[in-house]
Amino acid sequence: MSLNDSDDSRAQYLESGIINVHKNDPPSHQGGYLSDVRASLFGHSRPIDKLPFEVLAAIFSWCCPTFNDHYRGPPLSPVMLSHVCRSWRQAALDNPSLWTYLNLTVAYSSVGGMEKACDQLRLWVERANNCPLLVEVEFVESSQRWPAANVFYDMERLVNVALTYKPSLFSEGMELRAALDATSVSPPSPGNYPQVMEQYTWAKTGIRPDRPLRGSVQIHSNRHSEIMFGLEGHYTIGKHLIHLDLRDPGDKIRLSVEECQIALSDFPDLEFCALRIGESTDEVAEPLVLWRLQTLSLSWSDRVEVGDLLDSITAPSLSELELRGPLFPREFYPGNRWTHLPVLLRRSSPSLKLLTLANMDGTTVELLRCLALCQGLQHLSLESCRLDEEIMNSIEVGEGLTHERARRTVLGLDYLGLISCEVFGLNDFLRVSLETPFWEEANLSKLYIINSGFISEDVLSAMTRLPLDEFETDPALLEDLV
Amino acid sequence: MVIIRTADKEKFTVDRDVAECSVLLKNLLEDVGENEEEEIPVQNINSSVFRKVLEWCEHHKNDPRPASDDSAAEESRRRTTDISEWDQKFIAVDQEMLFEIILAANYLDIKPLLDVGCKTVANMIKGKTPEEIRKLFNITNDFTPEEEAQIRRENEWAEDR
Repeated sequence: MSLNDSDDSRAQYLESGIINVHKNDPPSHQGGYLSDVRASLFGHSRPIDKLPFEVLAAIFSWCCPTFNDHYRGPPLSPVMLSHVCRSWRQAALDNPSLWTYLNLTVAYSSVGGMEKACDQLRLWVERANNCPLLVEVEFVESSQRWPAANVFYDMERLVNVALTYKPSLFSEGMELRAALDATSVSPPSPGNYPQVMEQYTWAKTGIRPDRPLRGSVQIHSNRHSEIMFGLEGHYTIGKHLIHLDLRDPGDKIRLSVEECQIALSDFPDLEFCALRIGESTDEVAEPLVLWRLQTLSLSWSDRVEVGDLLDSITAPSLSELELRGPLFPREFYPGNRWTHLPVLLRRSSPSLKLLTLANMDGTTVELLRCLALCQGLQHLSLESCRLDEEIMNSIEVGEGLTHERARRTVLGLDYLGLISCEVFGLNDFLRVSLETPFWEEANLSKLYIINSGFISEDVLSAMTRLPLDEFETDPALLEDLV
Repeated sequence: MVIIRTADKEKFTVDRDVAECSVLLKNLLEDVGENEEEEIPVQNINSSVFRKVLEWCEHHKNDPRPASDDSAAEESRRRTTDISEWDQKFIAVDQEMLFEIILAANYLDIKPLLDVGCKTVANMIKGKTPEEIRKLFNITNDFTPEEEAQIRRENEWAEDR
């Protein structure tokens, strides 16, 4: 109760104080009542008591981190404020905007650490009332846990706490989404396993974190865990894993083809998948339908065969495909074909927008057939690839149904990159293309031909006059492009 | 110029643009019109505090004033937690005066000054334990044993951090 209330309220306060003194309050509390009684009788003895409720609430708001300013105050500020005295507790509890950000620690080393975290979350969910609440969860590991163990079940448990105490969230259509990303972690020190960043998000999709909806709750967590034995420690994430990128900067994470197959079958709702493969397998791949997969990037080492893996995948939503690796057997034998790419594209071509191939022979991978299958392709990047006479002639003339379709795909491209490629008769191709309506028909706005064969001065000069947004041949750009 | 009379009957002759830092005084002045002889009473503020407030208004009289419906500016004001160097020196006063300035800013409706005061008190509070806060502001722990028990449970979380 505030001491600047009416006389009537003051009398009631004094009365309750006296009753408490007579009942069972310890002496430490009696001192508090006597002090308040004195303040009540003789006016305000403490300057802070003069502040009206709304000003106290404003001061509190400058002490507490909020959903859009996490650093405004220490993490548990509203709890600390609510522990000072009864009137401050009331002010803190009556002000939902103080409870809009929670940095939640789950200490696995502490007894009942998860239960305490659930209790704390419940308190914030209840006290935030109709204000948006942002929760960032920090999992503090214990030596008892397996270093590759994920925290998915505990995240799920926290989500259930939020749903229990705010049932209105059921109708928000929120998903718990997870990502494993090794691209930004430090290379492992000798003797250690490589690490991966685990990210969990429970939020309504399409809503900016800094512009949350009224009454909404978001729960996020980022942590590092180790990768060992393929993805054994992470399979429990299952269909909640949306993003998987294991291209670590130290190039230590190399799965076997079998581990890739297991990963793709255990994470069927992946939207983004980028893997490096270091070992072949003799296992027969089970067919996989990845309905939500939009981006697939596979790179592999010498003497690794990924054909069966590609043959097993059906990805109807695939829009970006990147394949980097020498074909096995590495050498090109005339007449030898690696048909796995057109087989994959036949199932996924309608939506493919971007195709990157590296270290491949265009004829072996049946590039013309692939291009004929991808009529909506916008971006084609070929790195360290070989384009022979047949391919170049077909792009120039396009005779026959497949070749004509392949030519149309090339003309429809927005971006074409030939980086460190071996291109048959490049200069002649460009010279002839300049004398025909090729460039008038082409939709191209960005063309990069770098380190891919001789281009004479006159052809280069004519090329620079084409109405392209970007045309680059400078080898200095190699590092940026590859 | 306008004449403003404080609770302890002291009269202050103030530039109109300085007085208009206060939304309350601005509204009163609009009611009074151009009549410079009419005294404007501020009944809740004594002269020593009002002198301090005027010092702040004088320094900030040319600051842009957000319109009341300017939500973006309001949000920006709310998000800036820093206090300028001049304001820090201005507000380096004893606790009694600090709270009087806050009360005066609240009464006179001078939001930027109210923010300076509130942020200053918040900075005094931040990072302190409840016991340290009680000591700082001479606040009595008046929780019942039941409330104390609940608070002890809540404190267990803090120990895990």
